[in-house]
Amino acid sequence: MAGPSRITSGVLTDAARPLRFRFDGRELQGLTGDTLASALLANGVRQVARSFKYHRPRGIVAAGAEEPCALVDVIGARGREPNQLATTLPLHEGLNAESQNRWPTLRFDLRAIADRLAGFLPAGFYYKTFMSPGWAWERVYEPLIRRAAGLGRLEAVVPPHADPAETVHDHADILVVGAGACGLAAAQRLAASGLRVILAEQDAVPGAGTMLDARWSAWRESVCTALTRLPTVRPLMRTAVLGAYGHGVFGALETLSPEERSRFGGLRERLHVIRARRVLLATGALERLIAFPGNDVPGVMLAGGALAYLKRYGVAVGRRPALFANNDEAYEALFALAGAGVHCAGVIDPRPDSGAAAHARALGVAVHGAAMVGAVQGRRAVQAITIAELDGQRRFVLEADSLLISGGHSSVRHSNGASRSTPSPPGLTPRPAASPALRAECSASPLRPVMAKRPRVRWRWISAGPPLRRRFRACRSIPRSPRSRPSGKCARRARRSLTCRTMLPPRMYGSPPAKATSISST
Amino acid sequence: MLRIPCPWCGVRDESEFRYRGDASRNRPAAEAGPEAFTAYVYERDNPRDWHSEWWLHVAGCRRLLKVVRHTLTHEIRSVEAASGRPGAERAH
Repeated sequence: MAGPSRITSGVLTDAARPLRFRFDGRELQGLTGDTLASALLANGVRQVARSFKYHRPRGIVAAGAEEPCALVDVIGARGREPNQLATTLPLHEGLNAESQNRWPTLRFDLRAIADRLAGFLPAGFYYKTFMSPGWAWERVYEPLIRRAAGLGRLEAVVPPHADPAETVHDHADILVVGAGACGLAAAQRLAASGLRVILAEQDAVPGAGTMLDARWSAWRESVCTALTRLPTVRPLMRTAVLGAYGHGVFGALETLSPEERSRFGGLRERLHVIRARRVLLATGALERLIAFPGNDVPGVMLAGGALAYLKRYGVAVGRRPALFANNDEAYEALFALAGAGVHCAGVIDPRPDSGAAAHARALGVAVHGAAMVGAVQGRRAVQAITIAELDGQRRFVLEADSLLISGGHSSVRHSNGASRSTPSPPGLTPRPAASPALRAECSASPLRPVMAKRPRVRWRWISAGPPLRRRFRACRSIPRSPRSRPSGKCARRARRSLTCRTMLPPRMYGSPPAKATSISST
Repeated sequence: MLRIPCPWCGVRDESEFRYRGDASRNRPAAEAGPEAFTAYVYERDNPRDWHSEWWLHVAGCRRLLKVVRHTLTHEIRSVEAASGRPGAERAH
C-alpha cells in the first residue's frame, strides 16, 4: 500500500506496481493507475496550492476535470509546464511536480501577507491606487503586479516543436458523449445495430459512476468487452468534447497517455474534428458546492470526490471526516468510507430528517438534522467544524479532519448550449417512442435511487430522426443490468422524475419551421 | 460549420464553397432606370427566416448551387443546381 491513507485496493490502481514521484522536492510513492491528486492524498498531502490573490492554502476539492484548485507545474525533460490539473494528470515513474504561486515554499508563503491586507485590497486592484507618484508605476507597481499575477510561470525559452499536436478528422453515424452507464449501454446497442459509433469520454477509463459501486463491475466489464469486439464502435478515452459547431460537426481534444505519447514520437494532444449524423449526450452531472465561511480550507471537498478517491484509488481522504449535505445521494460517500473502516465524525444536514440519515444513525454516526456549517476552523487543514442549528438556538463544535460537502447535482449541459438544443424540462410527459428497455437501464443508475432523489445518469437525444429510432428500438436484446429495481416511495418518485426527464423530442439545431429535406441527387 | 449537400459531390464542408450572394434578386430590365438598379445592386434584406442564396462549389464540381438555408438555425432545406436538375447534367 503506497501511502498511509491508502486503506484498500482501488478499481484503477495496481498495488503490485508502485511508482516514485516528487512533489515540491519531497520523494513520495504512488501506484500505477493513480492520478497525481490521488497519490498526494494517499500520502496525506492536504495542501497542494495557494489561491490566486490572497495566497490562501488550497487543497484538492474534486476527483475529475471539474477541479478548481489543484493546479501544479510539471517539470519534464523539455522544461516546466505550468497549470497542469493534478486530478487528471496520470502518475508515472519519476514525475516531478511543483506547487505554484508561492514563495519561498508552499507551507511558508511570504505573499500570504496579501490575505492580512485583504481589507485594504478591494476586488481586483483599483487602478487609481497606483497613480501616484508618477515615476513609481514603471519602477515599483508594475513589476510587483506582474510578479503577483497569474498562477503558473511560463518558461522563458521554449524549444521549437517541443511537444507536437495534431488534428485528425473522424466520421461517424452517431457520437456518444460520455462513457458512463448510459453512454456505454447506448454505444453498445447502437454499434450492434450496425451504426458507426464514436464514444468520447474525458476520463482515462470508461465507466464513470459504475466504478463507484462494486455491483456494477461485472456489467461494466461485459459491456466494455463487447465494445472491443464490435468493429463499428471507436472508443476515445481522455477525449473531451469541446464544442458543437452545427450541422453535426464537433471538436474533441484527446490528451495522449504517457505510453501513447512515447509511441507517437512525443505527440501530446490530438484534436478530433468529428462529423456525425447524430449526437447522444450522456454527460451526467456535476456535484454542487455549498457556500459557507471557510469552504476553501484544504480538507473541504466534494462528497462525490471522496467517494471516487475511495473506490477508484482506495484512498481515504480523511481519518475522521464530517459530511455536510442536503441530499441523500451524498451519504453514499459516508457509507462507503464506513464500510472501509473510516469512522465519520458526524453529518450536518439542513433537512430535519431523511431516509439516508436514519441509515447513517443505524451505522452509529451522529446526524445533526436541521443544522448547517457555521464555520470551518483551521488554516492549512480542517481541524474542527462549527455547527449552527437552523433555529439559531445552539452552536457547537465538531472535531473533524476533513469535511465532505454536497449541494446536490447539476446536469452537465454545456454541449446542449453549444448545439442550441434545450434539455428536456422536468414534468414533460415521457414519449412513447422511447425504448422501455433503455429507460429501465437508465433508472437502474449506479447512484442508487433507493437514496437518490435526483438521478445522476441522464441521457437525451439531441436529434434522433425516425429511421435511427426504429433501428434503436429494433435491438432491445441487451441483458438487463444486474441489480433489481428498488422499491419504496422514494425510489418510485426517483423513477418517475427520471422517466420524465430522459426523453427529448427530436430537434435539430434549434427549432426550424419545417423538416430537413435531403436533395434529390441519386 | 455549414455542411452543404452538393447534388454532384455529396455532403461537403462550407470551406469548399464560396458564397455568391442572395438568390432571390433578379436583374431588372435594361430600361428600368437607376432606382431599380440601385436597389438591385445595394439593397439587401436581413431576414430571420428561410433565405435562398447562391453558393459556388469552388473546391469541388465548380457548379453554382441555389441553397435554401434558415438564417437562424442554419438548417438547409434544399440544394439545387442553378441550371436545373442535376440528373440532366450527368449524361455527359
